[in-house]
Amino acid sequence: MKPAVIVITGAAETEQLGVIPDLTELDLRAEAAHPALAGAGLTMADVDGITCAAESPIEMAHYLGVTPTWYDGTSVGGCSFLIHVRHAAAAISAGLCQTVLVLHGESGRSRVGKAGSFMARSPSSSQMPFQNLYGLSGPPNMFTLPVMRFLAETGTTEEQLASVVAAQSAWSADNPRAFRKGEVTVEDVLSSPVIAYPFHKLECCVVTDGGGALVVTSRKRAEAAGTPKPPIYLLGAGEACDAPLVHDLEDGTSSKAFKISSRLAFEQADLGPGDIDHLIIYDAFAHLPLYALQDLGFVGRGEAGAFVAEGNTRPGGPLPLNTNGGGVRYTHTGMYGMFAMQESIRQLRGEAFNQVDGLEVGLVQGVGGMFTAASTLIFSNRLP
Amino acid sequence: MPEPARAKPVPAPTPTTQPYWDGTAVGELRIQRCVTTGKVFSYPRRFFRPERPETAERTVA
Repeated sequence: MKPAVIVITGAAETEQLGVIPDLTELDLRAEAAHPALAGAGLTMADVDGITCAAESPIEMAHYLGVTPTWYDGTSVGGCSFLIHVRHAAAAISAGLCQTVLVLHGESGRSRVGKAGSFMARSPSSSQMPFQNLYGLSGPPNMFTLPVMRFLAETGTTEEQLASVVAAQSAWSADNPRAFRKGEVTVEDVLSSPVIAYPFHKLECCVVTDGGGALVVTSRKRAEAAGTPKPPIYLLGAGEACDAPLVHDLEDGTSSKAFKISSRLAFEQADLGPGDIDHLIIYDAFAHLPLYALQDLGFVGRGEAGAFVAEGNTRPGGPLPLNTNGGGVRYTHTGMYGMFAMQESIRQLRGEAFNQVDGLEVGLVQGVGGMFTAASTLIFSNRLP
Repeated sequence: MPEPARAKPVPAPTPTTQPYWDGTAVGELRIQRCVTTGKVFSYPRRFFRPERPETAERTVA
């Protein structure tokens, strides 16, 4: 059976972004769901599939008044929402459902109604007794060991690492929705406090409240129903994983999961790095764009630091990267993947705050649970 | 010796559910009504708008 052509017909972020002290995570998802559906020319009555991470999709479906015939609660960290899109595409292709709402809402900063960390691990996991108990349990110290080896083995400098933040701040400098305002220099980044060496404060993501929603359906159904805006086509998708324990990663200087998920997405789309006009790389911390530029084949090993420092990803550069400012400037609720996809879709629709002209194909590289999970999506605004 | 009584579990109100719990404290059942369909619903929710195409409003009463 030939898989169906899958499209995104609706996309919205919550109206507020940053500090939202009066909305729970379910409220945030619902707030984003309605404008996403409206933008797709649909109502809640059209929805027969629901996904979300952390909180149950069944809670969410009932809140919205929907009785889905398909749902997915895959919760593997920040790239969960990219994986939901891939799973939704497969489900729609298999005839399990027709119109899926991919939802995210997270009160990462205000922590309204939150029970605890979504990263809590049970005593029977490998992470808890063999890693987390000894203090290695959060992004600052789960990322530091691999990145120290990355810097040493690839010859990447601390200035080049800081240039990732400087480049992204140039994209978001004037964006009123960006949590960190203005533009910063490499010197600004390096003079911010050290959180966990080699990471300075400005190389760590912001912590915010917010949400987003996507409407995923088949091209056939979108064309039959008509859509207010041209659909965005999903050309390729991949997901992958690596070891749950930092010391069991096969190679700290490269992400096995990035390599596998991107290979799957490129193969499905029948495209390569040279075909990508616009790039989003989930930047929980500043090093991740350097890893992905290399692991996805945009540059050779050891070349990513110089590539970014020389301005190739800045406004006007040949490879626009993280044009919303990314997790380190724009927003990061704890799980950033939804916002990564939103910016890719805005750019392909021509609706971004800092719009790049003439884009046709965008790639979103997600990461989850530090280096444990990854997903890649390739979108386009033209027919495949 | 009987074991000491454990504290009774109680709900932790959120900004969304606070009006509901405030009602219970004064002996009132406060439930919401959808502004477009007129239907009542419970538990408390924000942005609940079933089965209607009107999309401008985001809120319920």
